[in-house]
Amino acid sequence: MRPYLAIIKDSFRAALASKVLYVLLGLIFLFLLAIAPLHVRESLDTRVNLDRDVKPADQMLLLDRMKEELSSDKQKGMQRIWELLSQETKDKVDNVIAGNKEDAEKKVTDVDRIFTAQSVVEELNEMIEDPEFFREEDWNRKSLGSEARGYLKKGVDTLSEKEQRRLNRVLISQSFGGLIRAGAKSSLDFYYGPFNWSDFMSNIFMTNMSRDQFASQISGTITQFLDKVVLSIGLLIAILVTANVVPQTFEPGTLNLLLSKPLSRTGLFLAKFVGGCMFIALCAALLFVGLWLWMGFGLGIWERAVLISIPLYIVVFAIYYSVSAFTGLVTRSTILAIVATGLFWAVCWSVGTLYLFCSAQMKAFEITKIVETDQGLLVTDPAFEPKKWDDAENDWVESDAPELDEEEKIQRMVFRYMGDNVPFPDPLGPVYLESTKQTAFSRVLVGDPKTHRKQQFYITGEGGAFERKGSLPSGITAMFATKENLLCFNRRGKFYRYDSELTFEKENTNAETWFVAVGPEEKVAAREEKHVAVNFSNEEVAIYRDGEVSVFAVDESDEDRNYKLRTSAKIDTGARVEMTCHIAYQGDTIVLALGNGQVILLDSATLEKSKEYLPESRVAVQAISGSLDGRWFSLLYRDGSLRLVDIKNEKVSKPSVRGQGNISAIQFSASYLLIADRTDRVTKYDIENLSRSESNAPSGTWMQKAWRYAIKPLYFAFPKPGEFYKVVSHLSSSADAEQNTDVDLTFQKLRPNPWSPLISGLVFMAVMLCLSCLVFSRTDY
Amino acid sequence: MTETAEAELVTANLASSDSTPAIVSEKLCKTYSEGLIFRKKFQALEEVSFTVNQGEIFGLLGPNGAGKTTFIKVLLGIINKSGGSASMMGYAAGSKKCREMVGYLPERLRIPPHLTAYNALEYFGNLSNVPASVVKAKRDEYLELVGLKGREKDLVKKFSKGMVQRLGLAQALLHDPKMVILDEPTDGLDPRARAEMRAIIRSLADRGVTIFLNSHLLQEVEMICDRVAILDKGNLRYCGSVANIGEFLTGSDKPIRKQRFQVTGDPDLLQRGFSNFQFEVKSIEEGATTVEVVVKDQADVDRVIDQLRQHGISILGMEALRVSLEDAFLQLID
Repeated sequence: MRPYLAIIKDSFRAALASKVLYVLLGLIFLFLLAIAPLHVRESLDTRVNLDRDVKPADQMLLLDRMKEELSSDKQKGMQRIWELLSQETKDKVDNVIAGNKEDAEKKVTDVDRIFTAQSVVEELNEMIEDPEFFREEDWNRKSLGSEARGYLKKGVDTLSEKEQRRLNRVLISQSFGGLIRAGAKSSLDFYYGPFNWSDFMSNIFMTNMSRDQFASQISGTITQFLDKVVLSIGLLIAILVTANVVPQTFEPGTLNLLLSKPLSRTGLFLAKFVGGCMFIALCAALLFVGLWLWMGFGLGIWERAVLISIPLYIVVFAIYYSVSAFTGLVTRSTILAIVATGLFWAVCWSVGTLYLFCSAQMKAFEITKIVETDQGLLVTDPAFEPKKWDDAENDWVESDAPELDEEEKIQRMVFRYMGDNVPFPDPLGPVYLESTKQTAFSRVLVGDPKTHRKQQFYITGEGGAFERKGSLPSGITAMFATKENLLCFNRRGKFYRYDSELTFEKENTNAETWFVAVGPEEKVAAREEKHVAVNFSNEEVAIYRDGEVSVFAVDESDEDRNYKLRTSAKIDTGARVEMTCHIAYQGDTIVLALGNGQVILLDSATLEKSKEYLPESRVAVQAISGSLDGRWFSLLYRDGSLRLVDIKNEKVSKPSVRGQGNISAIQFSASYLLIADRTDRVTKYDIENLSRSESNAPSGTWMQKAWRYAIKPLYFAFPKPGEFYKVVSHLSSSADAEQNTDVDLTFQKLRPNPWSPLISGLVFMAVMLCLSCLVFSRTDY
Repeated sequence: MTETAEAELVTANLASSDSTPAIVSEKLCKTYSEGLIFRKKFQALEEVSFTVNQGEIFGLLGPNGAGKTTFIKVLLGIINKSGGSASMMGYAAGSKKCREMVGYLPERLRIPPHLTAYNALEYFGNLSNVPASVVKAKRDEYLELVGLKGREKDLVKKFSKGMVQRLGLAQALLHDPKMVILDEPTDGLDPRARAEMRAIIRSLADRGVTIFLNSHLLQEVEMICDRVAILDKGNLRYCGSVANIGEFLTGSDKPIRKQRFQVTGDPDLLQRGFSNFQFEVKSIEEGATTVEVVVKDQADVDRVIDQLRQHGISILGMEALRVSLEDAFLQLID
C-alpha cells in the first residue's frame, strides 16, 4: 500500500507546487468574497407585485374593480388613489374600460389590460412611498383590517417610515376589495453590504418574498443550479487543470523509473487517478463549504444539498476524468485528453437532450388502447384516432373512419403535447361489440370551439367501415362493450345503452343520439372513466365514488331493462376517501386499485373484502382491467410495469413479458392478453402460460429506429451529466413521501430511479478504468 | 557468428560462482511492432544469451540502437519479451520480486521538478516500499555518497543534469538493492563527476552489489568493468572479460593483432621492409623509427622479421601490443 499512498501524496505535492491550484483557490476565494456581503434581512412588506399579489385570473379584472370601487360610496380610498394617478395612466384605464363596454369594434386584448394593470401597480408602489398618501378622511376606520387599525391606533405620526409604507400598502389592498392580497406582513430585503438592492432586483425577478417562500424557492432551485451551473463550469475547469497528470507520467525518464519499482501497473494508474480526483476534491470542498456557510449566514438557509454536492461533484468529475486519463494514457497528450473529454461531455449532453426530445416524441405515438375485433387489432395513440394493422405496410395505418381535415389534425398535434390540460373531454373507445361484430369509438373535434364538448359517435356498419351515428349524450365519461350491448355513463350518474334500431324523423343524424337512457334512479356520478367498470358477462356496472362501491344490475322485470342499484357498500380502505381509485369488474370479483398503491379485491355479490395487496411498486396505477372470465386482473403502473393478479391462486406477480417497464397499454381478449410496449409493438400472449403467440411490431420510421437502436442504448451506457440533481434532491429531501401510505401517488411526479445517473456513471467509470488498466498493463514503454 | 565463437561464448558464460547468477538471459528475443494497421516489425533482440555473476561489474556495450536499453527494459518488466527467458537473482525478469532487489538509474532520468532532494528520496524510497522513517535515517548518508550534501532542501528543478543523475543514483540505492542497473550513468557528466561516479560504482561493488552497466563510452567501461557483453543490432557479439577479448578475436578471420617494431633505416628501405603488410610509422627519433604493423599471427611476425633482415634493416626492439576494447569493439560490430 505504501507505494500507492506515496503516489497520491505526490499528486498533492504536485498540486501544491503548481500555480494552477493557487489560481483556482484564489478564484474560489474571490468568488466567495464577492458573494459574502450579499444577504437578506426581514422587513415589512411594502411593495405590490402584480404576479405575486394578484391571482392570474384577477389581473384582468383589476381595472374593472378600480372603476367599480370609484363609483361606490363605501370608501373614499379609491378616489384618493385615482386622484394620485398620473393623467396618462388614467387615460389608459379609461380606454381599456370604455373599449370593453362601448365600442365592440375597438378590440381590447388581455395583453392591453395586463399592461395597463402593470402601469397602475407601478404607480401604486410610488404612492406607497408617498408619506402624504394617507389622509384620515379617506378611510373609514371601522372597515379596515386589524393590521391597519393597529397602525392607526399607534398614531400615524409616530410610525417609522417603513411602517407608514406598510400602512399605505395595506390601505391599497383594502381599496381594491381584496383583489390585491395584503400578503405576508414581512418580506425579505436583499442587501449587498449596507446597500439595499431589493428595488433593483425586483426588476429582474420576483422579490418581496417571505422567508419561507424564499427558502422554498431556493430549495427548489438550488439542486438544479448546482447541477447545471456549478457542476458544469467547475467540471470544465477541473478537467483543464488535471488533464496533464496522466500524460506527465509518460514523459521519458519518469515512467521507466516508476515502472521499475515493485508496484503493479494497475495500482500505479489508479493511484494517479485518485490523486487527480483528490486535487479536485480539495477545491470542491472549499467552494461548496464556502457556499453553504454563505447561504446559512447570509440568507439564513442551511441547505444540505450544497454539502451533499461535494462527494457527488467528485464522482461526476471522476467519471469525466476517467475519459481524460484514458486518452492521456493512450495518446500521452494533454491537449488530446482535454479535447477528448470535452467532446465526450458534449456527446453526453447531446445524447441526454436527444433522449428527452425523442422520448417526448415517442410518447406522442405510444399505443394507449388495444382492441381485438373480428377485423383484426385496433389501437389508438394519444391522438385518439383508431389505427388498424396492415400486413403489407407492416405498420399501423389509419382505420376506415371518416378522415379528419388537415386543420383538425394540426390542432390535435398541438393538444397532444398538452397532456391532461386539454379543454375538451377525452374521446372514448374503441370498444368491440361481440354480438354484432361492431366496433365503436367517439371523436371530439378539438379544432372547433363550438363542438369541442360534443362527442361524435362512430360505429362500423356493413362491410366494416366506420360511419357517423350522431353523438354521445352529453357529459359521457366512460363507454364499455359487454357481450350484447354498448353502454355509456355520464358524470351525472345516468346510464345509456346503444340502440341501433332508433329512427329519426328529420334524419339529421348529426344532432341525434342513438343512445337511450337506462336508469338508474339511484344516481352515482361517474366522474372519470376509471371510476366505472362493467362486467362483460352479466352486464353489471360497478361505480366507485369517495370510498363507496355501488353495483347496478339490469332489472329483468323491467320492460326497458333499465338498471337499478343492486348493492352498495362503504369500503374500509384505511385511506382517505378522496384517494384516487381505479375500478375493474369481471367474473365475481371487483378490484380497486387505490392511489396509495393498495389493491383491494371485493366479492361482487357481498362487496366484502376478500383480499388486499400492497405490491412493492410505489408508483401510481395507470389502468386496470380484468380477463373476461374474471380469473386475471392486470395492473398497469405509470412506470410502464405490469403486474397480474391471479384470482384463483390468490397472488400478485410481475409477469415476464416483453417490455416490462415500457408497457403502455394492455387488453384482455377471450383467451389472450394483448400488451403494447416499445411505443407501438403489440404482442399477444396466451393467458394461461404467458407464452408469446403473435406479435405486431412495425419496423418503425428512421427516427424510431434511431431511438431504439442508438439513442436509448447510448443513453443507458453514457453518463447523464444533466441528471445528477436528481440524486442531490433525493438525498436532500427530508421527508420521503413515497413511504407514506396516506400519500396519493397519482399526484406524485413520476420519479425515475434517483440513483440511475449515479449508477450508470459509476459503471461507465469502472469500464473506462478497467480499459485503461488493461491498456497500461499490456503496453511496452 | 562462427561456430567457434559460439562455443567460446558458451564457455565464457559458464559462471564459476556457486551462488545464483545475478542475470541469466537465455535466447531472449524482443520484436517491436509499430503502426496500427500496417504493423511494421523490428527485431530489437535476437536470441541473446549470457549470464552475469553476482558481485561483478558487468558492462553491456553496443552502438546506438543495438538493443542495450531494450535488454534492460525486458529485465525490469517495462516491456514484455517476445521469446526466450530471462531471470534476475533467480526470479523471472520483470516480476515484482525481482524489481524489489534491483536499483535502477534510467537513461535521461527526469525527477518531478516540484520535489526537493529529500522529498525525491522519500517518494522513490516509498515506491520501493521503504518506510519514510528508514528513508529519513539513510538519506543524508546517500546524499553525501553522491555528493549532494548541502543541497538537500533545494528543488530538483534547480539541479544541473549531473546533479539529477547523482540524485537518481541515490534513489536507486535507498532500498539496499542486490543489483544496480545503470543506464548510461555518466552521460552528460563532466570529467570530474565521471571519476566520482566511477569511484561510487567501485565502492558499491566492494560492498558486494552487482553492477550492470549500460554504456557506449568504451573507456569508462574498460576502466571499471570485469566483464562485458557486446551487442550489435540485437545480436550478442561477445561476452567475457575485457582482458580476453584479444584472444577471442585471434580465432576469428579478422586480424587485429599489432606488433610494434623499433628499427633503423631510411624511409625507402622501410617501405620495402614492411611491404605486403599494413603498417603505420608512429615516430622517428634519433635514427630509431617506431612502426606498428598489423599481423594475423606469429607466422606473420616471423615473415616481417625475415623481410626486414633481407633488406638489412636492424631491429632495435619488438613488442606485441594489447588489443584495446575500442579496437575490438570496432572489429566486432559490422
